[in-house]
Amino acid sequence: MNMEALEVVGIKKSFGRVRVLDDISFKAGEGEFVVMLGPSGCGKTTMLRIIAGLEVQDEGYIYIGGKEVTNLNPKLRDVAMVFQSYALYPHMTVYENMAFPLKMRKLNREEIKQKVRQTAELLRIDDLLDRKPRELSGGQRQRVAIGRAIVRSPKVFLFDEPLSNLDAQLRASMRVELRRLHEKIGSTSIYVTHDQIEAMTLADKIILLENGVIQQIGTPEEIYKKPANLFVATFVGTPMINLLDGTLILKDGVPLFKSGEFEIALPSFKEYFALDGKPVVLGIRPEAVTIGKGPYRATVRQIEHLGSEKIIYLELKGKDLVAKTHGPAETDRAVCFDFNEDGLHLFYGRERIERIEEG
Amino acid sequence: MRKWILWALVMVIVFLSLGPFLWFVDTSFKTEVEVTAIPPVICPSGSVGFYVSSIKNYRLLSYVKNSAIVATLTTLITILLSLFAGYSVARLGLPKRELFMKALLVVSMFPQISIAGPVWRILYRLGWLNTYQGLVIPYVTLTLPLGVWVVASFFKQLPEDLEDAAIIDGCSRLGALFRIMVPLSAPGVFTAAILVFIYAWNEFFFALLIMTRQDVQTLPVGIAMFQGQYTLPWGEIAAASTVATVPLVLLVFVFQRRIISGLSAGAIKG
Ligand SMILES: Nc1ncnc2c1ncn2[C@@H]1O[C@H](COP(=O)(O)OP(=O)(O)O)[C@@H](O)[C@H]1O
Ligand SMILES: [Mg+2]
Repeated sequence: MNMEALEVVGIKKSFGRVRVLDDISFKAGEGEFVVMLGPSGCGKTTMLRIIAGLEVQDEGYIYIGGKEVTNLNPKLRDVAMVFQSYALYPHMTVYENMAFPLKMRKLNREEIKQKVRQTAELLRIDDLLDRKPRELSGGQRQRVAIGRAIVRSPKVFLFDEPLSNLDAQLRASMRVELRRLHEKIGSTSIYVTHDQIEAMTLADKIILLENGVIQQIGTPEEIYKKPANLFVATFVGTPMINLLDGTLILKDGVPLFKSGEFEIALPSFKEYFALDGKPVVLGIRPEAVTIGKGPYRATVRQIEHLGSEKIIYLELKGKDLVAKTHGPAETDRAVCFDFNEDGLHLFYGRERIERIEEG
Repeated sequence: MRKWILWALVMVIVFLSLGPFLWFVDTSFKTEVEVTAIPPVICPSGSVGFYVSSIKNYRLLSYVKNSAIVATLTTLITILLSLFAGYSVARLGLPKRELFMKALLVVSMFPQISIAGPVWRILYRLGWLNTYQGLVIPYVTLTLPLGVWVVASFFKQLPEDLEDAAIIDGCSRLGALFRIMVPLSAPGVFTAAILVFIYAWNEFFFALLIMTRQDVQTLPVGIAMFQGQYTLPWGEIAAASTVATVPLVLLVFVFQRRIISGLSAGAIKG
C-alpha cells in the first residue's frame, strides 16, 4: 500500500512525434512542497496537466493519496490548480469564483459561505468579495486564484508558474506569503516554475527537468551543492557557475586541473586516477572565488555592485572568470585570489564526479 | 463645411431606410378616406380601424401566432445546435477549423432556390408540408452556418484555461460549456439569436412554398395574401406590416447594447 500524497510513475507523453515527457517518476510526501523547475518548454505544464487529468499520458501511472487515479477524470482526482493566467471566471464576483468549486461539489449554502469567508480572510481578500476580476490588480487576482484553489482543501495543489505575471517586487512578497500559507495549511503542493529563485526559496524538494527528462531530484541545498550534471550546475545559481574546459593530470598522485596556462590542484574526487589525461570541465561557483589573497592572479575587467556584494568579472590568463564577493577590487587592476574548495565541481562528459568526502 | 456634407448624407441614408417604414406606420393610422386622398394626408386621424379590420377580416393574429412559433422554435434550435457545433469547432486544431469555417461560409452562400426543389420533395414525402416542423427544419438548416460562425468566433477568443479551471473545479464538459463559455459569449449568442429570429420572422420564399394552407401561414406570406384578385386593402396591409415590424424593432432596441458589443466581437479580456 502506497501512502504518498502523490506518486507519479513512468509517465511518457508525446505530441505528434515530439517527446515532451520521458519516463517521469517522482513522489511527493504528505504536506511536501515540491517544485518542478526547468526552462520554458521542458514539459512542466504538460506534467501538471497530466496529474490534474486534463491531459492523457501515453504511458505511466498516477497515484493520489495511495489511490490510482490514472484514468479518472479531473473531478474525481481531488486536485486544485492555480493557472499561470489565473483563469478567474470573468463574469463572476470574487465570492462566486471562490464558491464555484464548492457549489460543484454540492455543499450547502451555509457551508459555502463559511468556507469562502474563512479562506478570504486567510488571504486578506475579504473586502474584495463583491468585485469582478477585472476590477482587481494583478496581485489581488493572484490571491483570488489561490483562494479558489484552497477553499475546498484538495489532496494536492498544482501551481503553474503562478507568480510569473507579477512584477518583481510583488513576486518577492507573494513568494514569502505562499510559503507562509503552505506552512499554515500544510497541504501537498506541486509547484512549477522556470525561476530558480522561486524554486530555491519555496521548495522542500526540487525536481529539475530538461527536455522532458528529470535531471535531478533533491533539496535546494543538494541541487546547489551537488549538481548531478552540467545542466543542473549551470541552471541553478546566479551568476552562473564558471566552466573551464581542460584536462585532468595526475602529478605525483595528486589530481591537477590544467586549462591552457592555468593550473589548479583539486581536492580528492572519486576514482580520479581513471581520468588521468582525460578532457574534463571544471565548474567554479562565483561565490567560491575569494578575492584579496591567494596564489592566483587575474585582472579585474568590470565590477557590478549589488549593494552588499559585488560581481567581479576577471580575466585569468585569457579566460573569463566571474566572482561574487565582498572583497576589495578596482577595475583594470590585478588582484590575488583563491578558491573555496566547496564551490569546485568536476565534470566528465556531462556528469559530475563526486568528491570523496561526500561519501 | 465637411460636417454639413456628412450630416446631409446621414439624413439621406436615414430617410431612405426609415422612409418606407414611417410611411406605412403613418398609413396604418389613416381612415379609409384618408388613404386614397390626393394630395396625400400626412397627419392621419389616428384611427385604428385598419388594425381591427386586418384582425377581423384578414386573420392577422393567426399569422402573428404562426410567425412567432416558427421564429421562436427556429431560434431556439439553431442557437442550441450552434452552441454545440461552435464549441467543437472552436476546439479543433487550426487548419481543420479554418477549413470548416470556410466550408460553412460557402454553404451559407448557396442560393435558396437551389435547394427549394429537394426540400419540397423531402417534406412532401414526410408529409410535413403545412406543418411547423416543415418550415422550422429548413430554417434551422439555413441559419445554422451563421449561428455556428458567430458562436465559434466567440468561443475561440475565450482562453482554454477557463474551461480547464472549470473542469478541475468539478464541472463536466457540458457544465463548463453552459456555466462558463456560454455566459461569457452572451453578446455573441444574443446577436446570433436575434439575427436568426429576424431571418425566420421575415422569410418569404420557403414560407410560401411550404405553407399552402392559410391557417399555418406566417406573416410575410399572409400579408402578401391580403391582396385579392380585385382588391388592394392598402390600409390593412400597412397595419399588418406595422404589427410585423414593431416586435423586431423592440427586440433590437432592448438588446441594443448587447448587439453592438456582439457585432464588434467580444473583448472580454478580464
Ligand atoms: N497541446 C499540445 N500540442 C502540441 N504540442 C504541445 C502541446 N502542449 C505542449 N506542447 C509542446 O510540448 C512542449 C512542452 O510544453 P509545456 O509542457 O507547456 O512546457 P513548459 O510548461 O515547461 O514551458 C513544448 O515544446 C510545447 O510546444
Ligand atoms: Mg508552462
